[in-house]
Amino acid sequence: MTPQELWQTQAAEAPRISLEFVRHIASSLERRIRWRNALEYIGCLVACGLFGSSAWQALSSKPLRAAAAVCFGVFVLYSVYQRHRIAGAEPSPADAGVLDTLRFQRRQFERQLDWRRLGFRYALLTLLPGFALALSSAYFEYDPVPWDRMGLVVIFLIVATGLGAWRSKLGARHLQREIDALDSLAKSG
Amino acid sequence: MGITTETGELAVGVADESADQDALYKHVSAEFAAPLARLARAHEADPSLQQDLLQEIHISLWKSLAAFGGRCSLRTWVYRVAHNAAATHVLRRRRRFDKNLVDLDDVEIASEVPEAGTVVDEARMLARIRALVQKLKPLDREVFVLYLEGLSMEEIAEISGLSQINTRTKLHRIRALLAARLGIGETA
Repeated sequence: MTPQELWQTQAAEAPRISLEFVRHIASSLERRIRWRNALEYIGCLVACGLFGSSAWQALSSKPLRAAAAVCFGVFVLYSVYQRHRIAGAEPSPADAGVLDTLRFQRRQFERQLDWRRLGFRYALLTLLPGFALALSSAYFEYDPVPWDRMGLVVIFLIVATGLGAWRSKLGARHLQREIDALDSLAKSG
Repeated sequence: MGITTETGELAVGVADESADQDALYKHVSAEFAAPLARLARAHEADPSLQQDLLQEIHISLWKSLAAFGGRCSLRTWVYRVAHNAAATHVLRRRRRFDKNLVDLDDVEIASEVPEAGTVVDEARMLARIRALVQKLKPLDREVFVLYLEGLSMEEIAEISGLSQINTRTKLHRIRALLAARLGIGETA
């Protein structure tokens, strides 16, 4: 018996998977993805609603605070947009060969790596004007000036920036390792 | 719209595309049940995960058949989609595997040569083939499995996306490996 014949004799216990079962699993997977996306959009809407309402309330008495709230709202929208643009999952071409699948997976990791490297900078750039306006509002629009709160905001900003930079670096390093591992898997192609 | 496959006369005869997709899937899952199960077994050593992989392959197939449209032979399409799903599965679990997987060229031919006069029984031969397959990196594994399934060099090249020269080189290496490890000749 040749290795090929031997290999093909394994057929005996091949299980059948019914169409109904496949449909059920596929639809539950899609439902889960739809839910995850819906939750993200709902969270985004809630955050924008809160910032919008805060801006509306402060518009007449404290315009700088209102502008800061608008900036934070824009930051939320921009972050969601950038995440979808740069790091959103692309559908894998179903009929691609293994070589193309490996290339596709590598491209996905590269996109996520870009998001890790650039996303933090984007976030910082969009957040800074909001924080600057919030601090300016506290200084110019409040009497007495709430130095303690301003101090807390500055400490929060410094800690968040440090943590964000650290997390971004860690994530990028992890993704680079994934890409290297993938390259070693695809090397024989 | 009906679709006729090269392996049989599949008279779908229904205008609705999802009905076409379902009918094609039923045909494919019946026709390719055994090769798909073998593929899952080749890519996943853990029996509890083999069923998961098989499900992933079937779901990918069912989804992909909506876009089939007779662009290539159904057999080629099924193998491409199935191997794609299997490779993705291996990649997802790559952390566990990447340190152990090797290229065809790195497999030592002489490492398990049976002693002269030793009769290797079929179960042991099959176990050796499986062990060899699961040691390989995804691309080499795909070529190996397709070869074992009896596909031609041209079909293997088309499915894997490799050049024919590259495929021929890999097949040559596979035959040499099998002959050396199992101590038998090769017919293909």
